[in-house]
This record gives sequence, structure tokens and C-alpha cells, in this order.
Amino acid sequence: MAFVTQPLLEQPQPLSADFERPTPTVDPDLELVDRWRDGDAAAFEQLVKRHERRIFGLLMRMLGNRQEAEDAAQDTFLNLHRHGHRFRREARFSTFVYRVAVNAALNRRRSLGRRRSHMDALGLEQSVGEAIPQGPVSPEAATAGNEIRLRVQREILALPKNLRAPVILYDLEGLAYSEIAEVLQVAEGTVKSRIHRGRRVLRERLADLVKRGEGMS
Amino acid sequence: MNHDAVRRRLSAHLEGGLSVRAAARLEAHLDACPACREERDALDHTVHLLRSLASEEPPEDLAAKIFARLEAGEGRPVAWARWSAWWNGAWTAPLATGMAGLALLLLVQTVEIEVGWPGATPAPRALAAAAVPDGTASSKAPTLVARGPAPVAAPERRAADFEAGASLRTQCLRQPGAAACAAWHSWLLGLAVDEPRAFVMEVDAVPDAARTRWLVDLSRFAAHSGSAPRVAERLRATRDPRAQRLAPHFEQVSVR
Ligand SMILES: [Zn+2]
Repeated sequence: MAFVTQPLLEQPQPLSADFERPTPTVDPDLELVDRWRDGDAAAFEQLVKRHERRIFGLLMRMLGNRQEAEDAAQDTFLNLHRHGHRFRREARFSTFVYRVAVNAALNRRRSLGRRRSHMDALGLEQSVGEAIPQGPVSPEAATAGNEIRLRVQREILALPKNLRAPVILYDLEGLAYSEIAEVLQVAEGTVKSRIHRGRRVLRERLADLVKRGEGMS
Repeated sequence: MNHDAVRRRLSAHLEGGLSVRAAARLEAHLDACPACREERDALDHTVHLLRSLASEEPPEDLAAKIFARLEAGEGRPVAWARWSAWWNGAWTAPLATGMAGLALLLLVQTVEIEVGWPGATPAPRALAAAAVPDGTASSKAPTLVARGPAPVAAPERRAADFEAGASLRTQCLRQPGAAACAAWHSWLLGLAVDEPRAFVMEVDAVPDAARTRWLVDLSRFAAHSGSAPRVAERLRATRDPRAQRLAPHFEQVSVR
């Protein structure tokens, strides 16, 4: 077997050393990410501890069930470990983690299917009950506030899939449009229109609460 | 602006997302239209309800469970699995017939890479192991079947890998055709596919005097392994002019 290398169009150019790198944004996680990439397992553990609370909160919103959210959170960090080399520093690391988590939630919901929706609802009820903050609120008011929370959480879960994540990420998690676009891998304009559409759907479905002017406390 | 147009824009208006003109026209409509004002208040209230949901606390043992699963070997970087499949499927089999020495060398490399980035086991010695010259290995470029799958991805590279790559480079440039060249070249081609810009930097590390001749060797190796088109495509896809200039090497080489 023989090789034939045809004449090249041009000689290879000397490659200068002043190679441009993408400018990293100010990202508080980068130092830990670098240590992790250098093989420091403790750095990854710190990243997990830094992000687990927000990621679990997000997954609770998206899945509505503590057990599912916990499983998805584990999936998220294992997937992060598995695919961490895809993080290219063009976005913040936390945005990358959100992206992995949203994918974990979507995969989980897909595999759950409709047969679990009843169990979801039960789990949701229980979990929202657990989340009542303790405070100087009368039992009646606490119960009323809790019912409203439960309703709102249910209506978020009932949103069409493509509207649910944008609304959660914007109104509940407080991400910027550009970050949501990165997480969901869609254009920023699409993010905005989905947030606005999602809010309008919720406004219709929560019409009774909104008209009565009910609050949460 | 009619009622429908106003209501479609209310959410954006609440976020200050309308142009000054559009916002002024919308406000003018709201001043004159109690129904749309009510709608604005209802939407505002909806957003308030959403934002006042309390966040849920994770179970206390969540992190511990994740670490336990990592300890048990889950979550291993996926590039390793693809790399391993590539070596074992496309390379090792043909090598095992005539080039046991090199195959062994490559297997050592695969096994070492498994414990590499970013697992709990420190000090990856991936390419350093491969850098030990093997007396039984052929000193010629491996006669591989050209039709194997192209190397789609190589393992994640760490500083240690680049150091080991530099060691292979020294050996290969001192003695072109040495076993170290095969290990170095295959690593470089994986790098080109995964991280073309890092590949460019590695090419840059080859001394000017040797680069032109060596690039011919590398492009032949790529043609032989079937990875040349993919490498060329990845280099073209970058916007880096230096990567662009390297692409023709992998486009114009062919196995005959
Ligand atoms: Zn109106």
C-alpha cells in the first residue's frame, strides 16, 4: 500500500504563539473547574455542593416531585462529570450546569410518561406541604397560602413543555434572557416570546386566584 | 393599538421590554381602557404569584449520594468510552495480527486513559506510558485497514497528556517512523477532531525546520486511519486562519 500526498497549495505557515483564546467571562466557578480538569476530585465535590441547592430547586419546579427531583439531580451531576469536557467557557459554568439539569428533567419526564402523572400529583402535594416556611402565620392563613402555592406549582407543571422551562428559568430562577437562550439552545427572541406566552397561559389558568386578589401569606 | 395587540405586549411591557414609542402607545391605551388595565393587573399578580414560590431544600444526603456513585465508577467521562471503542474496534483488531507490539502499546494507553480526567485517581500517566519505546513494535507506519471508523473523539486532554504528547513529539521527530510516532499521531488526530485550536498549537510546537516534512507524515497517517476527511472538516469549521491553512494537508492526501 502506498500513500500519495499531492502537492499542497501552499507551504505551512509558521504558526505564531499569540494564539487568541476566547475571553473568559468573570465566572466564580472557573478556578474549581480548572482544578477539577487537572484531576482534583475534591474540586468537583465543591462544585456539586455549590450548585446542588439551586439545581434541586429548579428540578423540583420542573418535575414537581421530590423523589424525581432528587434522582434528576443525581443524574445532572453524574452527567456533568461525564460531559464536563464539553464546557467551553463561552458561557458561565452555572449556565452549563442548568443546561445539563434541564436536559435531565426533560429526559426524566419523557421516560416517566403519563402513567406516572397521578403519582406526580401526590408527590407534589406532599412536597409542597413540606416546604411551608415556619413563621408567625395563623393556621388558616398558612393553609390558604399553601393551597395557592400548590395550585401555582401544578399550573406550572401543566404548561406545555416548551413554555414551562423558559417561565421557570426566568420568573422563578431569575436567569437573564441570554442565559436561558444558552441553557435551552434557542434564540433569545424565542426565549422572550415563550416567557410571555407562558405567563399568559398561567394568567388564564389562575384566573380565579388572580381575580380574587389572593396573596400567598 | 387594539385590545389584542395590547394584551400580547403586556408581559414584555412589565419587563420594560418595549421600545419607548411602543410603551407610550400602550400606556395611552391603558389610560383609556379599564379592561386592559385589569388585564395588566392580573398578569402582574400572576407574575407575583410565580415569584413568591419558596425554593425547595435538597435532601441533606444528596451530595453524598452523588459522590458514592462517582466512587462506584459511574459518570466516567464519555469521551473515554468512545476512545476505547475506537481503539479496540478499529485499531487493535488489525494491529493484533501483525503488530502485536504496537497493539500492546496502544492498549496500555487505553487502560491508562480510563483513570484519567477527571476521576478520583490522580496523576494520569496516559501517554507517558505509551511513550516508552517498545522494541517489538514496527518502526514503520502501521499498516492498518483504511476503512475503519474515523476517530470521532479522543479522551479529554489534561496538562499531563500534553506533557506526554511533548515527550512523544521529541521521540518521533528524533526518529521519524518510531513507534512513538503512531501514538503521538493518533493522539494529535483525536485532538484535531475534538479541539482543533489546541491541535493548531501542537502543530505550532513542531520546530519550523521539521514541520513541513512531518506534516506529510501526519497527513498520511490520517489518510491511512480514515480520519483525514473529518480532521479537514473540523479544521475548516474553525474561524482560525491558522487552522484553515492546515486543512489542505488533510484534504489533498489520499491512500492509493
Ligand atoms: Zn383595551
